[in-house]
Amino acid sequence: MKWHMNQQKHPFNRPAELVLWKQFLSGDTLAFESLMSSHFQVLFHYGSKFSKDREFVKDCIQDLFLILWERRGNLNAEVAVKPYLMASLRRLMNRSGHPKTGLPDAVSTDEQGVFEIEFSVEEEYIEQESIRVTTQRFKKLLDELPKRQKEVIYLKFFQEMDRNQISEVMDISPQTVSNLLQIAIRQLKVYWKVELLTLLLVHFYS
Amino acid sequence: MNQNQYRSYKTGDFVWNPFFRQWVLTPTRQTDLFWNQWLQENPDFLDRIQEARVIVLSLQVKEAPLSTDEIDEVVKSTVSKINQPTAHSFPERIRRPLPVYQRNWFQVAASLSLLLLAAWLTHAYYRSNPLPTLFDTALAITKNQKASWTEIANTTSRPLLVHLADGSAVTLAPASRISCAKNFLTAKREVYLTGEAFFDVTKDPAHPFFVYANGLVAKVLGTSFTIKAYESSREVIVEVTSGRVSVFAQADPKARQKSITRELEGVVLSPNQKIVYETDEVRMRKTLVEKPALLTAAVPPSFHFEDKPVSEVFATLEKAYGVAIIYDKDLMMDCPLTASLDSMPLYNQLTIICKAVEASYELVDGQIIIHSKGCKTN
Repeated sequence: MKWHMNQQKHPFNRPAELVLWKQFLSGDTLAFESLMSSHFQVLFHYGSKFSKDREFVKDCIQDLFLILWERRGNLNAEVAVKPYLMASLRRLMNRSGHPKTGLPDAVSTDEQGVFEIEFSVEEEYIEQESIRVTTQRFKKLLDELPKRQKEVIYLKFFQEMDRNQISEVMDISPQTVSNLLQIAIRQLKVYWKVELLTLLLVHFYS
Repeated sequence: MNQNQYRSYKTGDFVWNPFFRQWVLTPTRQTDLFWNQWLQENPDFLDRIQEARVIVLSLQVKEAPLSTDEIDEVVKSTVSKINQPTAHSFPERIRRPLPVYQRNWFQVAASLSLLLLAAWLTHAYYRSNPLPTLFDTALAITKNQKASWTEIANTTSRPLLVHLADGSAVTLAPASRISCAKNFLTAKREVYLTGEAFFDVTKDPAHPFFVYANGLVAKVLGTSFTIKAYESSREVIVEVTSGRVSVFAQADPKARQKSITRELEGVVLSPNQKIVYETDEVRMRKTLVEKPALLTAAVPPSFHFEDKPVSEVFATLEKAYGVAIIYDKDLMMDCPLTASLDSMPLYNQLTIICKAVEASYELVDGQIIIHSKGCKTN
């Protein structure tokens, strides 16, 4: 069990972030600047899943921080900073509509919202042809997942978030997060087994 | 946690296991230890683990490129907006016509603008009359208006993680402080350190990262390392964890030249090497860190040797720790070795090898020198 308690990448990440957050809430512009710089990239990457218009995404992040600055007196001092920022950006972008994707505001609810993510296979890590084939198959399985499952997988495995944080970001219940994750992972693994079986059979009969 | 659960794992189970991914993507001493040990106990899983590792590493999310200049530009413009609050400061894009149901929001916005003006006046007042910070915080950002440098000091008893604007992370030890220019992203990446800190520097070959510490300059292109430069101590120690760091004295007449070029010059340190710079002697001693760590490798190295030529054994160690081992190849050609040296530190491994082949070793200039009189051939 002790291995799993040390899962956080930087054990003191949260306290330091939280200190920065509190300084920002107290009106410190340097803390504000530092908070924005250090989270800009992750927010930009996340925001780009909802719109391909990079200027629009950057504008939304700027708006987000301007709004946070103006509301800093009413914000909660004890938050998980990164999930909170991602959740706020997601809400803001949904509310602002998606000019380049042509979706009218009313339609962009969570059920039909945009989440465009592109998985890639970085060939430089791969030496063996058989692993290349396997990895491509993994990518295909990811590509075939429905949007919401993709988003859950992205937050869980590529942003290393836990169930509660994902629930906050996507504005759904923790139970729904678990369900979505379970379905997605089962899908990824079931297909894996079937494909492997097919491969073996093909191999056997050829 | 039952470690045997992994014995039922297929490649896909490993690929989507958070603990496994964490080891592959951001390994730590503990996770390295756990998985290396697990692999030793389950050697039949070596292929599967290796395959899963490669898949985790190569399967990525394609992200739109974003330059630090771009980030800097938006951050700057945002900061300038909050510094000059007027009625127009409220996000302009949101002021564009929006559906009726959101109009209430704008009434709130209007009143917020008024509040904001008041807040700004209060803020201006506080700025002219500095008050003690409202929060009893660990992180004290103070402003040095003269040089426009930002200083971060760790006044707590625990390490403090600081994110720099370029994405680099600095873990500041207690009673240590760093300062960097406010326009860190546009100017050279330069940090002044007093005390001890671990740096994890974001790769950016076009913008070398400099640490100035008590007369010593460390220049890196993207790597992780520790610097100890306490004011009370007469020496500065640099220990490299990954990548390469070039170190030179600030007093070095060629220091300027060395800092300008993109190449690493001066004394170049590789992983597991450290340098001790004695400030009053202007002398640098390069040596190895106290406990050289295994480099991260796709396949954990095996230190089990059966009747292997000693050259092969040394080659394995060199590769595993990224250190140089110097020995007389001709002299030691006939020295075979049978030993199981798994899970022990490098220096113990060397002691055992040297005992077996009747040699001795010493550390010179960050390298391992083996002294041998050759092996008896009968």
